[in-house]
Amino acid sequence: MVAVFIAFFGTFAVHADELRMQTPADFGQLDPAFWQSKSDQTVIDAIFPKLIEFKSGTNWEYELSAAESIEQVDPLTIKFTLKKGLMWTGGYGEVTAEDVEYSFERYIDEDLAAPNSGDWAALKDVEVVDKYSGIIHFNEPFAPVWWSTLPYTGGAIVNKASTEAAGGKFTTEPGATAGPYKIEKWEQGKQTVLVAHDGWNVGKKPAYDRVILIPISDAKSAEVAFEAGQIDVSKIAISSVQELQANMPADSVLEVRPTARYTWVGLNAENPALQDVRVRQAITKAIDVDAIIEGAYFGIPDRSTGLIAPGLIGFSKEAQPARDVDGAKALLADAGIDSLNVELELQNSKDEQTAGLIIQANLAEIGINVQLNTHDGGTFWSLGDEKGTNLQMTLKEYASPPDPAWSTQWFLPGQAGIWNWEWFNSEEYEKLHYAAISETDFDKRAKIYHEMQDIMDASHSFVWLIHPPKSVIYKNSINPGLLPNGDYNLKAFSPAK
Amino acid sequence: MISYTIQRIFVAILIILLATTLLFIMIQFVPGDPVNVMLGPRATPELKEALRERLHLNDPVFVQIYYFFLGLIQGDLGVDLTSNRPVTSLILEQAPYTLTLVISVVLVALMGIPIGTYAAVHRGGLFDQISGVISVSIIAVPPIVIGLYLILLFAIQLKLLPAIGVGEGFWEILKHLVLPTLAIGLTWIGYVSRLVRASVLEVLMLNHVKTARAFGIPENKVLRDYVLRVALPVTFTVLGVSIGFILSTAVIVEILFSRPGIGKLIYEAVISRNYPVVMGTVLAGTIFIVVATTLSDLLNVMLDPKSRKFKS
Repeated sequence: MVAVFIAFFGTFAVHADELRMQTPADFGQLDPAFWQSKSDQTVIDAIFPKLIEFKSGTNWEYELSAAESIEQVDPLTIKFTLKKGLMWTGGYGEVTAEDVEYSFERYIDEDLAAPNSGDWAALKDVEVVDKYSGIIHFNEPFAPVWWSTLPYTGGAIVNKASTEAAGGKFTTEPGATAGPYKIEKWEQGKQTVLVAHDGWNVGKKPAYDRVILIPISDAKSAEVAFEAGQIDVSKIAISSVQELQANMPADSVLEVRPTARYTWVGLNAENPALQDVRVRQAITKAIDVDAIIEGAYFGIPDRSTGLIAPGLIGFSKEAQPARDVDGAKALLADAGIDSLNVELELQNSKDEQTAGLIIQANLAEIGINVQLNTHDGGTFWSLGDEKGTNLQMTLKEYASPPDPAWSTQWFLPGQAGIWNWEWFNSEEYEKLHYAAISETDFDKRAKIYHEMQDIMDASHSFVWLIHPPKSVIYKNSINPGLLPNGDYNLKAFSPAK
Repeated sequence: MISYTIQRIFVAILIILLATTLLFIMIQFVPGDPVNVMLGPRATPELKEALRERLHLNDPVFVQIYYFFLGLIQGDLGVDLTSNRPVTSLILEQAPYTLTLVISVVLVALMGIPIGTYAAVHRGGLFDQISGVISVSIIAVPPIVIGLYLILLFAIQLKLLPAIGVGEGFWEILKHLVLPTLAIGLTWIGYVSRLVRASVLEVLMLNHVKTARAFGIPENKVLRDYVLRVALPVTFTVLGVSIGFILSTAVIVEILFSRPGIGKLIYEAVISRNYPVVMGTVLAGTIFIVVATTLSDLLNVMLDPKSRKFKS
C-alpha cells in the first residue's frame, strides 16, 4: 500500500541534462519566411543555423555563428564565409553557400509571397563564390540587415534540397535542420521535445541534451507550474512580479528585462473630434502617464520617452513633458470646447482596462468624457478596417525586432488606416524613415531617429506610455540564456556552477 | 424499440446539421478579420486577398456552407490556417485527451449514487445532513475555483500531484488526471447525490416498495431491485444531457491545467479566428454531445419499462 502511494504520489522526475520551459503556445510555422509568433521564433532560432546571432545578455550585440567571417565591404555588399562541417539532419550533407543563397533569395521570390519578405526588402541577390563563401548584394543600403535580419529569424538558413522537394516551403515539418537543436517530437498542445543536434560542429555544444517546451497560454498556470516544480523556466505576467519579488519561491531567480515593444495612446488626427491640434495637445497634457504606470503596470516599467525603446539605435533620453491639467484646460478653452465625447478603443486585458479607466478619469478633469470600448484581440486588430477614420483614441502595443526601422514603418502615410491608426501624415517623417534605413553610420542613423520621434511628438497624436518589460523566472541551478529582451536563446542555457 | 432507435438517430443527425449551419451563420457576425489575425501586420494586401479566396471568405454564406458540407461528406474539415495541418488530424489527436477527462469526470460523478442512496435510506441522519451541506456547498462553487484550490493544495503546498500537463505512461497519465477530474467532478458528485437522494426518497414511498417489504424481501434486495432500478434511469438521463456542460467546463479546465484537448483547441482557434479549426472542433463537440444524449436516452428506455412502453 505504501509502495503504491509512493509510486503514485512520488516527486516529479527531473533530469539534470533536461530543461523544461514554458512557451505561450505551440509553434505553428517553422518556415523562417512565414513565422508569426514568439513560439515559432524560439524553435526556428534553435533548429536553423544563422551566419551571425545575438549574444545572450543585456545588450544587443551579435557574434559569429555559422559564419567564419562576415564583412560589409561597401553599403551594398556583404561578404561571408561559412564554417566547415556544419551538417544537416537527414543525410543532407553540409550547410553550404548555396543553402544561404536559397534561404535569403526566397524572401524576394514573388511566387513564394512570403509575409516576412520585408526582412530582405533591399536584397538584390546572393552570389555563391564557392562551397562555403558568398556575397550578398543589395539594391540599396540596408542598415537593418545587421539588427533585424541576419542575427534575427530572417537570417535562418534552410536546407535547399529538402525545401525544394517539399514544394518550396514548409510549415511544421522541415525536411532538414542544422541548428544546435533538432526536433525529436512534437505533440500539439502537450510538448515540443528538442534534442542536441550531433551535426552542430561550429560552436559550443548546447549544455542541455534535451529541452522540453511546454505550451502554457495562461500566465498564472505557468507560475503555478513553476512553483509546483514542473517547469524550470517560465515567462511571468507583469502583474505577478511584485508579488513574486516579495515571496520568491525557493531556489528561484526573477529577471525583468526591457523589450523593444511600445505601448501608447494614439489620437486619430483625421477624426473630426480630434482634428484640431489643440484638442490633441490638451489630451496629451491631461493624461497622467505616471499614474497609469503605477496603476496598470504596477510601477515596474519606466515611462517611455518615445517610439524607440532603450537599447536600440535612436533611443531618446529626453523625458516626455509632465502632466499639465491647467495647460490642457487652457488649450481646450482656446479651441472653444467646453465638453467633448470621445471613444477609446482598447483590448480586454486587465492592465489595458485599468489604464483605460485612469485615462477616463484624467480626461474627465478637463471636461472630456471618454467612452471605453473593450474588445478581444481578434476584434481589436480589425478596427482599422472596420471603423476607419471613425476611430478616435486607441490604446495599443506593437512588437518590434531590435531595429527601429520596424517601429517607424507603421507610421508612414501609406500605413494610414492599416496600422497607422493615428492617420499620422508627415512627408518629412517618411523621407527620414527611408534615409535611416540606408544610413549605415550608427551615429548618423541615431540622429535621424531622434528627428523622427520629434516629428511624431510635435503632431500630438501619441502619448507614449511604456516599453513593456518581459519577466522570466528560473531555478537558480540554471544559467539563463536570455536575449536582452528576455526571449529564450535555448542553446545558451546551462547549469549554474 | 428499433423504430424508436432509428427515430433518435435521425433526430441526432438533424440536430448536428442544424447546429453546424447555425454556427456557420453565427461566425459571420463575429467581428474581426481572420486574415489579418492569421497573417499578421507584415503580409501584403495580395497575400491577404489570396487567403480570403482560399477560405471562400469573399463568397456568400450559403456558398461557404456548401463548401463546408461538401468537404464534410469527403471527411475533409479543411486545414489549420496556422500550421496547414488537416483539422481532422488535429481533432483526432486532441479528442482522446478530452474524452479521457470527460469519462473520468462521469465515473467520479457516479460516486454520487451510493452517497445519495445512503443519505436517502438514512434520511435525517448525520450522514444525510453532512452530505447535504457538503453537496450543496460544492455545487455552488465554480469548477475553476475548485481547480485553483486543488492546485494550491496538492501541487504547490504538498507537491503530491502535478499542476499541468497530461503525463506519459499509465501512472503519470492517472496522476495528471486527478486534479482536473476533481475540479469538474466534485460538483457533479454533489449534484448526482442530491438527485439520487430525491429520486430514491420518492421511490421509497411508492406502493410496490412497501409491498416488497411486507413480503419480507431483504432490504438490500428491495433497494437494488425495487428502488434503484426505478430511481436511477433519471440520473443517467441527467448525466447524458449534462455531457455538454461537462465538455464546456473541460474547456476552462484544460486551459487552467494546460492540458491538450478539444477545449483548448477551440479556445485558441477562437482567439486566433482560425475558423476551419473552430468549425471542426465545434462540430466534433456537437457530435459528441448529441451521441451522448442519444445513448443516455436509449439507456433510459432500456432500463425503465414504463418509459419503453411510452416511447413505443
